[in-house]
Formats: sequence, C-alpha cells, structure tokens
Amino acid sequence: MDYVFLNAVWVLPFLGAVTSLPIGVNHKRSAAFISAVLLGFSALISTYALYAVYTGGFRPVLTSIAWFSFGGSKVSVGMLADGLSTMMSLLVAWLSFSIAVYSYEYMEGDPGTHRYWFFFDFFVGSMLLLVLADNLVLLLVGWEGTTLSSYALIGHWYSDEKDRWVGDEGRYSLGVPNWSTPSNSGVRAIVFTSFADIGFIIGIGMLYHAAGTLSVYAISQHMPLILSSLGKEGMLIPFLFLFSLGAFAKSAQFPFHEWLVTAMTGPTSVSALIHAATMVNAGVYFMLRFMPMVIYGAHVDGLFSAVQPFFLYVAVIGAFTAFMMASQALVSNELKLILAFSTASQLGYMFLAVGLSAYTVPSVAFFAAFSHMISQALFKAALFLAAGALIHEFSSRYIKDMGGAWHGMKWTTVAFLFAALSLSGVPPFSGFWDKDLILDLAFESGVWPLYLLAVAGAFMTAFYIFRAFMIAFAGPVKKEAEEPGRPMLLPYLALGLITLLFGVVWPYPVALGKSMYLVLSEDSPVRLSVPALPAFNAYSLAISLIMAFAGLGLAVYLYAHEREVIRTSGAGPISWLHSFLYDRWFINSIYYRAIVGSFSGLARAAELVERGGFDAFYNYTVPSAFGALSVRLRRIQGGPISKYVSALFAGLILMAVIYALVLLVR
Amino acid sequence: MVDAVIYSVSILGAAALLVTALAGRSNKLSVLVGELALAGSAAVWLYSVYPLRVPLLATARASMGGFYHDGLSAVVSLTVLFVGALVIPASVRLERGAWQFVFALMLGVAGTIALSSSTNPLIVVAAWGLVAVSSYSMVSLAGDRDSLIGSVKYAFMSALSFQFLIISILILSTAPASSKLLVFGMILFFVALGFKAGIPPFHMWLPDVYGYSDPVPVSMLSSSMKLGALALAVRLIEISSSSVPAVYGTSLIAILVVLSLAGMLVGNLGALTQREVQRMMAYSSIAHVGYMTMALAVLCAAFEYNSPGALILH
Repeated sequence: MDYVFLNAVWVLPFLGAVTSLPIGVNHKRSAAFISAVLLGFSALISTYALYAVYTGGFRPVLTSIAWFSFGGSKVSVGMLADGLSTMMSLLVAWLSFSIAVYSYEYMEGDPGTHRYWFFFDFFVGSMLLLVLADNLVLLLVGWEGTTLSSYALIGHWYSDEKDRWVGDEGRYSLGVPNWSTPSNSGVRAIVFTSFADIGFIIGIGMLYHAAGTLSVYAISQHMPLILSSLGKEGMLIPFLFLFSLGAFAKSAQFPFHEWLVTAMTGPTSVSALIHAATMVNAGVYFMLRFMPMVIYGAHVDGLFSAVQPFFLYVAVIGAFTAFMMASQALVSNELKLILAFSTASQLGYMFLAVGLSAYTVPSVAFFAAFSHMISQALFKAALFLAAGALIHEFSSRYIKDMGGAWHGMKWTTVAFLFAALSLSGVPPFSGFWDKDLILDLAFESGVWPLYLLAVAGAFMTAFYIFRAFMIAFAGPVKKEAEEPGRPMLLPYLALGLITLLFGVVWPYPVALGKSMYLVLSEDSPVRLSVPALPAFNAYSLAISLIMAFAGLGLAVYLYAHEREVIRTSGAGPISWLHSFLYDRWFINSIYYRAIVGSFSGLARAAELVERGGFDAFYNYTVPSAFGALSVRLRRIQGGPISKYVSALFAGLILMAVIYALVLLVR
Repeated sequence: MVDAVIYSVSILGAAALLVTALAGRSNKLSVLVGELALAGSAAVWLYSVYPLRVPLLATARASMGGFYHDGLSAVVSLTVLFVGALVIPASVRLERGAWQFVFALMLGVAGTIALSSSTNPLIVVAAWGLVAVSSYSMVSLAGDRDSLIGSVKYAFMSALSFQFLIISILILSTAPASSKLLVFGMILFFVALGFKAGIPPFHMWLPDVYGYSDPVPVSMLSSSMKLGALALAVRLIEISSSSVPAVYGTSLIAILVVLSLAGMLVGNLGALTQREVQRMMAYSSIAHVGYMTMALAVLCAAFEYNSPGALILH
C-alpha cells in the first residue's frame, strides 16, 4: 500500500470540496453528484486499506513525506494505517458516502447547495485526515478542519428562519433564551470546541517537550519514557487532563456538551454525519488512540496508581454525561433534540468504558468503547436520517406534530425500529453487546456510583427512544406521510439492517481473537487484544436486560394510547422536574449568566471607560487641541521675509542655548 | 573609479551646454537630451560600482581635488539621476520652454552628485552654490506670481544660509583638531543644512515654495535636491567625530534631537488640518526630514560611543 494510495483516502474528499464549490454555483446537481462519487471512491480505497492492513497481520503501515521542520524536529505528511485507524476510516468513509447519497435528494432545491457540498466534503477530508494522521500536527489540522466545517454546516441556514431554530421560541430559563438560531449555534459550537482545543494544543506542546517527537507511532514506542519524564516534573495529571480536553469537547462531554444540543440547527443529514456518527466520535477515537499507550506506559513505569485518578475522572465524566443527557432526552419535544441528547449520552458510555480501562481489563474496556462507537455511529446515523425523512414529511421538528407514520412509511418505520432497538440494548442488535459490555465493566470495577448512573441511563435510553417512536410512528395519523425517494430511503434502511447484522455476527470476530488488534497494532509495544468473547457477568447481564425491557415496555405502555402522560402546566415537584430537565438542567442558563454575563458586564464597564475616557480624549480633546495648534503653526507661515530671517537667527540662538545647556549639565 | 564623479558631472555639463545651443528648437528634443545625459551618467555610476565592492561609507580622507567613491555617493547620485529622469518629461508643459528647466536640472543634479562625494571644502562650497542657484531658477521658471514670490523668498533665504555654510566650512577645514571651534562650525553647518533640507525653524521658506509654486520643479526640489546636503551632513559628522571632543559631541546630538523633534512636530501638525494636497506634501516633507535628522543624531551617537564607522560597517 503506497503513499499515494493511502493519502487518496483523505485527498479525494478535499478534491470533491474544491471542485464542487465552483461547479455548484450554477450546476447544483452536478456538484452534488461529483461530491458523492468522490466520497464513494474514498470509501472503496479505505476498504482496501483495511484489507491491506488485515492481510498484513495488523502491522502498522507508515508512509510519509517531509512537510516542514522546526527545532530539529521534522513534521511529515504521513499516514499511520493500523487496525484502529483503518477501521475508523472505513466507518467514516462509508457513512459519509451513504449520507452523501441521502443528501443528494434531501438537499435538493436548497439555495446554498454548493456551500453545503463544499463543507460536507471538506469535513469528510478533514475527518479522514484526523483518523489517518501519523503525527499530532497533521491530526490537529484535521481536527480543526472538522471544527470549521461543523461550524459552517450548523449555520448552513444562516438567514435564521424560525423553522430552522432549535428550542422553543419565547421560552426563557433563568432569563436566558431556551432557543438558538443557526448562526448562533454555529458560533457556540466553535467557541465550545475551540476553547477546549487550547488545552489540547498545550498538551501537544507538553508532549513534544517530553518526547521530542510528534509522531504518533514514535510516541507509542516511547510512552514509558514520556510518562516518567512528565511524572518527574509533577506534570503527569495536568498533562493527561489538558491533552484530552479537546477530546471531551469534541465528544460533547460535560461540561462542554451544550454545543451539540444547539448544533441541531444544521441540516438533518449534517446532524447524522457530523453530530452523531463521525466528528463527535473523534474524541473517543483520540482517547482510544492515546489512552492505551498511557495505560501501557504507566504499567511499565510503575506509575499506574498515579494515572488512575485521571481515568476515574474520565469515567465519572462519561457516566455523568450519559445519565444527564439521557434524562434531558426524556422530556424533549423535538425529534432531533432527543437524538442529540442521546448521542451525547452514548458518547458518555464510551468515555465511561475508556475510564474503566484502569479499573478492569484494559483491552476489554477499550474494545467495548470502540465497539460501542461503531454501533452508535451506525444506529444513530440511521435514526437521524429517518428523523430527517419524518421532519420532511410532517413539516415540523416537534414530535407532537407527528403521528401514525407507520401507515405510510413502512420501511422507514422498520429502519427506525431496528436502530431504536439497538440503541436500547435489545439483543441481538449490536447496541446490546457493547452497551452490556460497558455496564458489565462498570459492575466488575466495583465503583458503584458509576454503575448506578450507567444503569439508570440505560433505562432512560430505552424509554426516551421508544417514547419518540411511539409518538411519531404509532398513534393516530396526524398527516398522510409517504416514503421518501430511494436515495434517501436506502441509506438509512441499509444502516438499520447493518445494525442488526453487526449484532448477529458480533460474537464471532471477538471469538476469533486475532482479528481484534483494533486498538493498536500487533507490532507496537502497546498490544491490546481481546482474546475471546469476554465473560459476561450473569447478574449484570440480567440487570441491563431488565432495564432495557422495562424502559421500552413502559414507553410503549404509556404512549400506546395516551398522548400526553405528564401534565406540565400545573405547579409542584413534577412540573419543576419537567422544566429542570426541559431547560437542560439550567446548565445553559448558568453558562450564560456566569460566563457570558460576567464578560458582558466587563464589556459594559470597559465601554464606559472607552466612551467617557478614551473616546472623549482621542476623538474630542486631542483633535481639537491639535487642530488649534496646527492652525496656529501655519499662521506663522507667510508674510514679510524679515520674519523668516528672524526665525533663522532664533534657530541659531536655540542651538547655542542647547549647546550651553548640555555643557552645563555635563 | 574616482572618475565616476568627473565623468558624470562632465556628461551633465555637456548636456546643459547642448540644450542651450538647441535653445527653443523643440521641447521634446531638450527632454531627450536631458534623459540621455541622465542615463549616461547613471550608466557611469552603475559601471563604477558594478562588482558592489565599494565601501558603504569611505572613511579615508582623499587628497585635495579628489572625490569619495563609496556606497553613499553612489546611492545619492543614482537616486537623484533616477528622480531627474522621472521629472524631466513633465517639463514639456512649462511656459518658457523645457530647455531652461533641463538646463537648470542638469546643473542641480551635477551639483548634488559633486556635493555627495566631494572631499574638498572648495568643491563643497561650489557644489552647494550650484544646487542652490539651479533650485531657485527652477522654481522661478513656471513664471506665475506664486512661483516668482516663492523663488524670490527662496533665493533670499538661500543666499543668507549660504553665508553660514561658507563660514562653517571655513571653520571646519581650518580649526585645529579637538578645538571648541569645530562645534561652532558644526552648528553653523546645521543652519545651512536646516535651510536646505527644511528643518524647523529654518524651514520658513519651504511651505511657500513647495506649497504654492509649480509642482514640476517642486517634485525635484522636495525629493532629491536635499540629498546632497544630507550626504554632506553624514560625511561631516563622520569626519568631525574623530576630532570633536566627546563632551561637545553630546551637545551636537542634543541639537540634532531637538531639530528632529521640531521637524516631526511642525511637519505633521502642519499637515494635519491642511486641505490642499500640495501644501500637505510640503509639511509632510518637513516631517520626513525630521525623521532623517533623528537618523543623523543616531549616527553622531554611534560615532561617539563606538569606534568611527561602527554603525555603517555593522
């Protein structure tokens, strides 16, 4: 597998971006077609890359050419193809391709199609670059590329029409608007993620300081050395915290989760691709890329107990996010918001698994996170794409306007149901295996609060998704709905079926053992393989199954007949709880009150100083003083020549005076 | 290649004679002759510095009658030749015929070249006079009332400041080393320089001439005619640095700093509320000469506190 070939995986989408923009201004359909076709080629090549890595016994393939050098360190445009990166790029490329096919119909007639396709392809290129990059500089380039395109696509409908908003217009919590417009949401996304990226960049700097290299492969080789040198400086925990900060924001973990909620102002296809299936997984991917190295390095150094608190923190944040976001999804009225809450919640489970790697068998924990990442990408993309079709058919983003979709949209119902079952953790869907594995790990770890949060989250997950399902698909027909055209239907139907298929075959590749060098390559010192089907704890298995079916059953029971179970109009604790959840735990309001509020207060104070002090001084006092001075100076000019001559002699005297003064001072 | 000065001045002088002989035949012909002379002169200079091995600032004193041939003289000469070549075509529209303007310009350029490279006090005085005469004759050529008033004021002030130059050159070339007189010589030179370059308070003529006269001669005057005087200032500072006692050197620096501040202030403040472009340019040129004066002060400081030539060489 040569350099050109491996790079084509990420170069082709960028090629699609630059060709579709000029073409798309006048030929929207051709631009869409070119974009989708190039993504298809990229997907095919990524498949070949995985095949090549697989037949090579999961040995990492490194290809690079020099890019630039600084301080004796060279940065290359290099690709690292190993089990993890090729599987991830396979997932990203094929999902992008299928969602591009969906968008071909979904975005038809939109005036900004050329922008859409430019950023769509730009995103896919950046994401694949991030996944395949063999050094942190290149990884950061891709990382920020995804941030940029995410911003642009969230704000795609930047003219901010009301039906593109997210949240309820006119609803305030603690005096802060509950709703968000596309352009506002785009800025929120870039602010939240870029803020955390500052930590990430500082972390890269610390890593470079300790390692002297930015190559991912070299870092994996020298991790024990790096950790011990950081440990000597007492920077081990700060480093891990800063280095992973960007990943937390990217994957919408508390306290950075708020951007993902309002990101739903983008086109639904974008939500499916970026904010459910790929970009938000970049954080998890990052953790899976580097945390095994940390675990390995800490084991070698005997620093394991020193890094354990960090992993506990990761697990706590993950479990808390999983619980909190699931609870918010319980009451939401917007279909896309439910799915957004769900995405953040599921990402929380992945972080929980990563964190548990320091408390259980690391390889199993990382594998669980990876597997859940793939399952979640598949079923969440299916859910979002189906939701896009629903929103399109019912012309509303609220589930209360939907109903009886089953009658007209049989295939959509099947796809949504499969994906929902997978999300709920019902066997034999893929979501069952890995979520159960994560719950099992939490159970085994013996950290009970984590387990309780995770189990409660699992119950709520089954409930909220079947609440949405029952309201939208069952019940009385609100409007005659029809299946969308094939380019839209086929992608999510296929994804729904794949999520079933993936679940059915899930135990087999695990049992094969060898094929599970996912996390890092066989060649690397960081060797984490899952030798066989992990032993499930019977109690944990029983509890998680009961929770899934209880949540599912309760939702079906409650929403089969009655449309509105909980009256929200009255006062009392139930109503208060409802608004607490509906207003997203007031976290958004607190952010605005505390952070935005304090800064705007500061800005007002600065404005006073600016207006009264600087502006008055620079715009009035200084100009009028100098204007008067200028007029006076020029008035000297002109008139009799004797004035000129006296000026000349005055100058001479002045010089003599200066001369005398200098002599006096000396 | 000390001969570069002699050759180029000869070429320019020959051209001045030629346009006089062709007087009135054709404005275009006069312009052509002038351009050819400037080009030929520039070619001589370029050829003479071709390997770029000449020192930036020659420190050795050449003998009587000789000329410096260094980076400073080459840069000043080539600049003034280039600007002259740009200005000459505009003279076609002058009322009294281009030949007079070309004639004056040839002499002015020749004077500037000589001034920037002369080692000899007599040549300095002669070249300075050449530049002065050609300058106010150029201004008067336009013939309108404002130009004539400007020209007369200019000529009067020029004559006055010329006296200061002559006295200063006399003192500088005769006073014994390390004597106080040298400082007075420099101060008197600063009066002449201040007049020529337009440093307040010796600048009074400048807004009248630059601001009201015909723009064609002004474009020559304001840009390149003061280069010769500034080059001479650099040379005098360099030469006197070894002979003026340090304590007096400090007072020279202080004087230059005050002059420079005055130039920047008067120039920029005067330009601030000016509504006419040409007069704004006049004040702007005062300001810029102020900046250059600051460089001269720095040059003084460099010569005083380090070994001579340190600033230039490093």
